[in-house]
Amino acid sequence: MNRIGRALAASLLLLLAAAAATAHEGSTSYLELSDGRPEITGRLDVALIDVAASIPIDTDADRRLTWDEVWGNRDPIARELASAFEFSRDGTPCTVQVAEPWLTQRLGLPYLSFDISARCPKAGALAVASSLFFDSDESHRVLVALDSGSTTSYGTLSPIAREWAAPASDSAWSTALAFIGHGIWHVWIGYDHLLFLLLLLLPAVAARGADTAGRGRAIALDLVRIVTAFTLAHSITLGLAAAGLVRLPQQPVEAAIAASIVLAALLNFFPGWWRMRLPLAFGFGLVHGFGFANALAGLGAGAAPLPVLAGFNVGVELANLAAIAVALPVLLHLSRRGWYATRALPALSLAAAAVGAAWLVDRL
Amino acid sequence: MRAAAVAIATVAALFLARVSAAETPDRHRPANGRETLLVLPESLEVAQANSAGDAAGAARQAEELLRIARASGDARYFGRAGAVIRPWLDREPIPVAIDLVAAELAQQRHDFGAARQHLDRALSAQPREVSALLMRANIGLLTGEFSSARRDCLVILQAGAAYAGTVCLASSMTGPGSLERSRRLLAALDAHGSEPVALARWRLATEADLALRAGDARAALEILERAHALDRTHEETRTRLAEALLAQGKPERALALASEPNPSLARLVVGLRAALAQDGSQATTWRRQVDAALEESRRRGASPHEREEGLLALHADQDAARALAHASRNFALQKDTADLRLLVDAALAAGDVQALAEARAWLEASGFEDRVAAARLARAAT
Repeated sequence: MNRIGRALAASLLLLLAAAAATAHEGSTSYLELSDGRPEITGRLDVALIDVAASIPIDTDADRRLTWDEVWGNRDPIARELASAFEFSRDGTPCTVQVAEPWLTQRLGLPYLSFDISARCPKAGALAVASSLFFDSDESHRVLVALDSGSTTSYGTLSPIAREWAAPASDSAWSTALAFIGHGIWHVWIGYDHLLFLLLLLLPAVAARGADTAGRGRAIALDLVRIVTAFTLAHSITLGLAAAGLVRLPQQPVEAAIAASIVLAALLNFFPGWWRMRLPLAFGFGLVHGFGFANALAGLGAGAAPLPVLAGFNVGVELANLAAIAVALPVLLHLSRRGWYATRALPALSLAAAAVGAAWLVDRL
Repeated sequence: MRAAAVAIATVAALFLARVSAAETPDRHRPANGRETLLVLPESLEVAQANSAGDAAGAARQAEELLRIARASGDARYFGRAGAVIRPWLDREPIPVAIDLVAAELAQQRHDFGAARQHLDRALSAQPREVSALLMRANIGLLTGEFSSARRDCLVILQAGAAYAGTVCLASSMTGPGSLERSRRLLAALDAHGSEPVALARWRLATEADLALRAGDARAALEILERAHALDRTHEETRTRLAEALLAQGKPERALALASEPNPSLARLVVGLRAALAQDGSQATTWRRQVDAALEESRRRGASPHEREEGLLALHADQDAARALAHASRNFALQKDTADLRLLVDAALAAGDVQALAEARAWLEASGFEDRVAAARLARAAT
């Protein structure tokens, strides 16, 4: 092969390879810490191939790394890693210790995993610095996760940002409070959920009892059942979706929510079928839960920690209950009129069905 | 209320189980200490040799690391090559060999502007440096600057690299009838069997792309099969073949290819799409792998994977609006056939008239021929 041929053979290997790297975009170490004040404990996972590049652990030089070779070199490996990390609190250094290795896998690659601990002062913000592999590998990143009890903070160390300071963390309570607000706001601006719920309530106030007390009991019992079924159902699917266990695309979910409004509205025309509102509340409550989950994901909380999930769900419930508290007295007042069941209920349901149908067409 | 309590407890338990599973992969100490955990690359020692004081030595060392990166598909060797040449990038003048390595690294991370700067500087020092011309032409093809790519292809031809220059030229032709001219040009190109595998693969990849754009998906699939046979571990070819199989309604084989070791993110996305197209039973597992890779990429601070995220939104999540947002950002960066198709399909799914008009305008202005994309756009217009 001539000079041009050799040059081409080398450079062509790169052609069409720009997007061909594996799911690993470079070398990554994982540092997962728990702040037990004063002690920091956690786990450090480092790719075996990176360890082998910086410490001569291929003792028999056969290019095949075995666990015996790793174990035989565990002390120099631990020393090297301990010296590559610095922990401090408010500028006061901590003493870092790295224990004996375990074997694990990350995205299909063999990793060495070490328990890591550091004795630190009790007060002050934690900072983590590393020089691990940075001088020999520009792609290296150390992904840091710090569990402070109520929240988890994330940081990334790289050759150009070798230190990370934990942010002043919000408490679980303040996180939950913030997401209660998000939950209320979502229901307020996503009025399809409210419309569905109110449609289920319209027939409730049309219930007839033998006397005023009996009527009141019947309405209260009906309301409790419907709201409980709806709440339980959307809590289940919101929880499952927020945990990443079930995932539904946004478009069909939004279309199904619109369809639920049409169906609930049509049901109101047939008093004989009103008992179906309970299964309807539960069944479509499951669908509405996926809608809430998509809204939560839109807030950047795709894999939501518990305070986020609990706060958002409580916010949704508060908004639902507030809407019922406002609507119920009005509906009760109207229901005493003779025309409520014969005119108002069908007219309101028809209007809601039209709105739901328009949303359905728009979302399909 | 008991049923409610049980349901809520179940959800909470599943939630906690999922969180803990994601954060703590299992670990153990192998019972058999002689079991091979990892095979090190052959020329790792050469690539790790200390050549700090000598630019040519540093370039050779970096090139060896690039070779390991390409052969293994392991991007950490790109990072090591970057560390080797880093000290030379702060000196003036930067040696041509160092600029070439830096250009390759910039192209690898899709920083086409930086790659072009390195190549322009190298070519101003050595105007007939074929490697630099070839890389710059390739960047022109990826970014839709076909006339500048064509100029570089012609210089490659003039430099005596007839085979590579012809493939390069066939890739860069635009205007009415260019598809057929390109296909004829490649058909007339004699293969001696002595071409480097990479060159033969590039020719086949180009032929497959031309067939795809001409609407002959079956021919494209057959050509990609031949390219794959040249080197069954070549990641880009394997991914394209899996995509072609999926498009031809063969998700089983696409899934088998996607399941081979060390997948790229692009191949993981094909795997998910194939799993969904099959019976969906493996889709959750594939989705977790894709999400894990994307999450790691985000945490590493890497540039967004607009193409893959667009494909995910379009085909897995059926979220046309999000797909179009990714597709538009992706198309602003790169304009391969797959990028154009993603843009058109996402715009069609979203019913976005403006995005469709922009795609039409780009096709007209660039002269890029893709009959399939053009037909889809024409159908949308009627």
